[in-house]
Amino acid sequence: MALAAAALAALLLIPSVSAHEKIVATKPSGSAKVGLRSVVVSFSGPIRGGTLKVFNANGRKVSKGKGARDPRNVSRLRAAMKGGVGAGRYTARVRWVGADGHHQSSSFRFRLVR
Amino acid sequence: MRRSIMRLSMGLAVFAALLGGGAANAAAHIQVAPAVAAPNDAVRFDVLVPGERSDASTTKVALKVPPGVLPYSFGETPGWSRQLVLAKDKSVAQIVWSGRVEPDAFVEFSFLAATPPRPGVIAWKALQHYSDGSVVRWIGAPDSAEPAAQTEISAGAALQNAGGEGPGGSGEEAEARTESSEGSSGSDDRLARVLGIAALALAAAAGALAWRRGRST
Repeated sequence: MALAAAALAALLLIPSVSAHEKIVATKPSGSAKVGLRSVVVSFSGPIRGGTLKVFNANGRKVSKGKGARDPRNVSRLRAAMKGGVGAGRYTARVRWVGADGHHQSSSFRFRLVR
Repeated sequence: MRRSIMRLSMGLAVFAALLGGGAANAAAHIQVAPAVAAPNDAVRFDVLVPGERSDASTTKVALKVPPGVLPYSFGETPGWSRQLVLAKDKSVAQIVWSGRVEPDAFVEFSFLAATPPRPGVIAWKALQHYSDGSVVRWIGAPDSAEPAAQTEISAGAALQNAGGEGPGGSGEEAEARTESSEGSSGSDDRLARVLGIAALALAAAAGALAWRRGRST
């Protein structure tokens, strides 16, 4: 009985296997030309939704709205860039909810060059 | 003690009735459970496929995934292989299982999926292929001869949370929630930690008990 309880307790300690969707690619990655139209994040699986926002070095948002899941691909988030965004370093902040309901967030940086 | 047994058996009876309720009146239909699910939830769907002919075996089942449903994990059914047909937006449009089940047997498939964000009724259209080449199209209305199984997406339904991730939600809600609390998986981690500590304590107590018992005999 006690052994069974111990075994059960040990089982509880094993981390659950997860099907969490990870970021597998970003566009741009590294750098892109000034005049970039949109930023895209691709995940390892379908997501329910999320947000994607791009900020400049001063913390000012340079993407339109909150971004959203790509209507053409359920495994992608997409955000359109505002017009007139110049060369420099940018940070994209990503939040998403995987199909399994898991909430995650991440960020990545890229450069715009002339 | 007796009361608790009675309560347990009553609970089992209710459970059995719930399970069997759909099956009783439609023994030969392809069924998809649950009949009711919450929106924006991670739900385990079970597809029950009875062989309904004495002279042919079921060899293939193609299930059309309703719009807004996002399957993300699939149960394995021994002896059966699975193929996913993707839609234009790369979501799973169809799950096709191939194998063989004897005429007097049934086969069951399962998968985990996110339910649509909005309430409504979703229909599970399915094609059942037989070894003699015939196909039964379970695509009709509920009162038709070959009905498609239905699941009601209802805001009042209990969350099943088959993904094991705590309250789900859409991406929009995600933002509101994560903006107030730093780190999106914070609460999940906390719960996991508490569970882990509780499990450790339980293990230690059980171990101590076993050790004491071993000494006293």
